[in-house]
Amino acid sequence: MEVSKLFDNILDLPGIEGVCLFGAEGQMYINRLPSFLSTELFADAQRRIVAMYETMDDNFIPCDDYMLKFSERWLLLRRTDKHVMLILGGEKANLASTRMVTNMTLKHLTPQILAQLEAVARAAVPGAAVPAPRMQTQVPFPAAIAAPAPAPTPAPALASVPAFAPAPALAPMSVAVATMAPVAASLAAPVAVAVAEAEPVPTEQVKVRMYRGRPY
Amino acid sequence: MISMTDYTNPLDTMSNTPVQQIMQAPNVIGYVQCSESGDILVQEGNEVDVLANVLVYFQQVATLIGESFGLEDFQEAQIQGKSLTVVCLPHAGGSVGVILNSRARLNETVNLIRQALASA
Repeated sequence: MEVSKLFDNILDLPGIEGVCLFGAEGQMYINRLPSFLSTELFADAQRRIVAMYETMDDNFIPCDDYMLKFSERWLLLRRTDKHVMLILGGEKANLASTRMVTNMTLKHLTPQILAQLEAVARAAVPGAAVPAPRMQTQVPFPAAIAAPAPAPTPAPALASVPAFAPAPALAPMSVAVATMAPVAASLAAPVAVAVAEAEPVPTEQVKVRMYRGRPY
Repeated sequence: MISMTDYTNPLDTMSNTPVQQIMQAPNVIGYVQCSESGDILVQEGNEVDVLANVLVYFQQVATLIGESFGLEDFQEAQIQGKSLTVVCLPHAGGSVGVILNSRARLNETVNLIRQALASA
């Protein structure tokens, strides 16, 4: 059975919103949690979960399953020898079904499959940063557009025909790029390069076709 | 007509404290209540000493774990070991921990605990 299908089975259950599997030493085997959970936030959670297991093992009795219920959702933590499975569920989720399906998944997690999952996760790490800026691409642009950009000043030579001032027309875009640069520098870089490549044409070289003293 | 053997004095039930009600529930073997600072307020039954030591810490960490996922208002935790289960509930600013044996019907017992604590 394909490994990813085991986790698909969990996510197929109504009300289940995410699942992930990580090792006691912090290595991530598979992460199917909602995309709004950033890596930093999850790193915090991972550290706390490991601390909780260690403390309870040392000071209470070793317990493998923890169900933490909150106002709208719950977290189910299931530990085996070397890894912890975390399931995020909502109010609609059936806990008994979740336990049943996760039992089956945990049973299939052999060391070979774990090694395979870890290799896949490691290979995906360099590219993992790529999807994040994709989500941000939608954000800076409206912000830059919303920023009050200075109105283009017509070139002196073309003062009589302000509608035909192509060279200054690039100014608002460069201002917009400059505005969003601090917000998403990595994202803005290709745009800024593209803008820089399109060198502004000197106004003296702009040829406007005229008909009886008026542009046409 | 009610025979004397079937009759239960309602006052007997009413006079039960929430702790007694919880301890009388089937398959409950221990109860501990701690203040927010970790002081043990009530402790009855078996295996509660060790639970009392970690109960407040556990609740704090559970709350923090939830916050990491954007979850607020920690309501309940079920800790399942091989031979026993612990139910942890926030109560009156502190924590209540109830130890159940493996035969306990968890949902029913949790409801009963909640009712008893609500009546306190």
